[in-house]
Amino acid sequence: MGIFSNNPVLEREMRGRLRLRRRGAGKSFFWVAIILTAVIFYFYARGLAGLFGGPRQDAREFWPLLSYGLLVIIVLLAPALTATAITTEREQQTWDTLTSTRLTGSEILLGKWLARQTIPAVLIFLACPYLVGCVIRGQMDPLLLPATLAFLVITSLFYGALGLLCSYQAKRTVAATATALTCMAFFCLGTSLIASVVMILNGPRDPAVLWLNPFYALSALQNLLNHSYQMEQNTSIVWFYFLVVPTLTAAMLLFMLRRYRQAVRG
Amino acid sequence: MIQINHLHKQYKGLNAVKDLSLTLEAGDIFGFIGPNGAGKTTTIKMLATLLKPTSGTAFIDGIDVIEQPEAVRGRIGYMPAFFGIYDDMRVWEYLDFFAGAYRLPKNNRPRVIDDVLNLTDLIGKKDNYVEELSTGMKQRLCLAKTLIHDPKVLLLDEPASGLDPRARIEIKELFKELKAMGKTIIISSHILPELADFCNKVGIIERGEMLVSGDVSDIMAQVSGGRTLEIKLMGDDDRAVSLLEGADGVLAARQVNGHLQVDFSGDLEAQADLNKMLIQSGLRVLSFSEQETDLEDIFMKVTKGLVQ
Repeated sequence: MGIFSNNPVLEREMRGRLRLRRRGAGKSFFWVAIILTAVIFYFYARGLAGLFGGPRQDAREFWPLLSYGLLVIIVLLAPALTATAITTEREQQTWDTLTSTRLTGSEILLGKWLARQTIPAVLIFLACPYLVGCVIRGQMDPLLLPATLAFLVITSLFYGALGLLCSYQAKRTVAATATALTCMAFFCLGTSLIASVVMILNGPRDPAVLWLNPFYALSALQNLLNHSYQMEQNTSIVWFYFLVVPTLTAAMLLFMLRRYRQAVRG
Repeated sequence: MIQINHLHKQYKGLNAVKDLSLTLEAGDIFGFIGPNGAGKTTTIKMLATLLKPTSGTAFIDGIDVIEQPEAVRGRIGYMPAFFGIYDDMRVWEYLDFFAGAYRLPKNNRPRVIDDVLNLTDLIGKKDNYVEELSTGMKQRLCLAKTLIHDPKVLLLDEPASGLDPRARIEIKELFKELKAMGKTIIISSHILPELADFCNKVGIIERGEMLVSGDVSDIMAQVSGGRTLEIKLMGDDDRAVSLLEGADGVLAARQVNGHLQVDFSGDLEAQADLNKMLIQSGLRVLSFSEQETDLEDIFMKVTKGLVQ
């Protein structure tokens, strides 16, 4: 048994995230969901066909809309989803029962963290054909696609870990969610505000705190691969983001595992 | 099977458990009695590897609870005092989840799930959602979960709290079945009649200190300091009291609600002689019996500080 294979926590969380039919929801809900899915799929396919058949400029203009749109959803969704992971267990008094089993801290915490990445992962997966369409039709740098996908994935994992950490440390779900979203707001908006103040005081050069801002970093990545201006600085920003964000993610997870082992001795 | 030596737990300057020692053999059913906040849950949580003791040692089936928590977890079934149940699952899914959590092989799980559902009389609810179950059924489901990996030791913290009388009787019957299966059980409760029927050992804890522990019969003798006799006479109670106070083995004699109550330390032969003496003294004895001491009496005496 490991974190990925035969991990009951991962399986239960995944099943819970993806379960459409619940008792009480009834058959009508099920049929509404089917019809809605069919309508969405129709527009999805039509949009995709339009993208491949449309003008090149449209594809180039659609790319930032899609990538930034995905980033907005991910930074909002990933911490909100994981912020409920542990506090809900505590609130519904299942945490002691869970931790007294033979499951290890890694299986429980990493299982919850990964399972709650399902929805962001599905969104990224659904966006993939559009992103591919933009790159092909817009004749953009092919490296832009894997680089953007990797960027979105590490961002989702980072904000997911942030939410999980808040959930692990807080006693109530409301507090965990509020803290996670505040931290997210700091990275996405606070860094820009700090940078603005620093720039007013110290001159026009972008301060390093801004490099943690996912929107700024995504912009640097896209400018870098579109061979736009400030190549050197964009390279630094991208390297910084791709090194620091996974390191911070790992640090948060290790911190939680250490705390778990001290508390539960797993 | 369970060996606890000088276990101590301190929370922010408060001694939740003080110098607790206890030995239980395989098959013992230990009733852990104490008022709320006495330290029962803390002790059970330390045995369940959920809390680290401040000092002391504990062994379950010869395995150190502090050094090898993972190995201990496979040998214990823990049912917390307050527990929730994942209500978005079916009963069998819930048990399958815990079977996985206890690393039971996948192909064995359906049989094991059926076995524990039969034992807890929930087999008819196998496909129901957990949220559809009554409180008593949820309690039995939690017990089924606790038994899923066939643990040698069961740690049951207030397992019958919040149940109606019928559900309480049902769960008591279940405990008797577990006793017959040879499980070693620590069961905490502050509802004493719950424990009296099936515990062979008890321990009374107050403010983190184990005031008394051991075989139920030994404790009863230890706490009551002998037997209490109840004697009903046809008149002459005052003369009887003065006669009894001078008799061998009588510690004290008093009139209570129209009969005599005698604290007596003698054996059965001395008890029979006492009866004979009363009759030979011309007193007309209507009844002569030994007062039954139950757990409730012991608990009241011990927690009042009558026993040191």
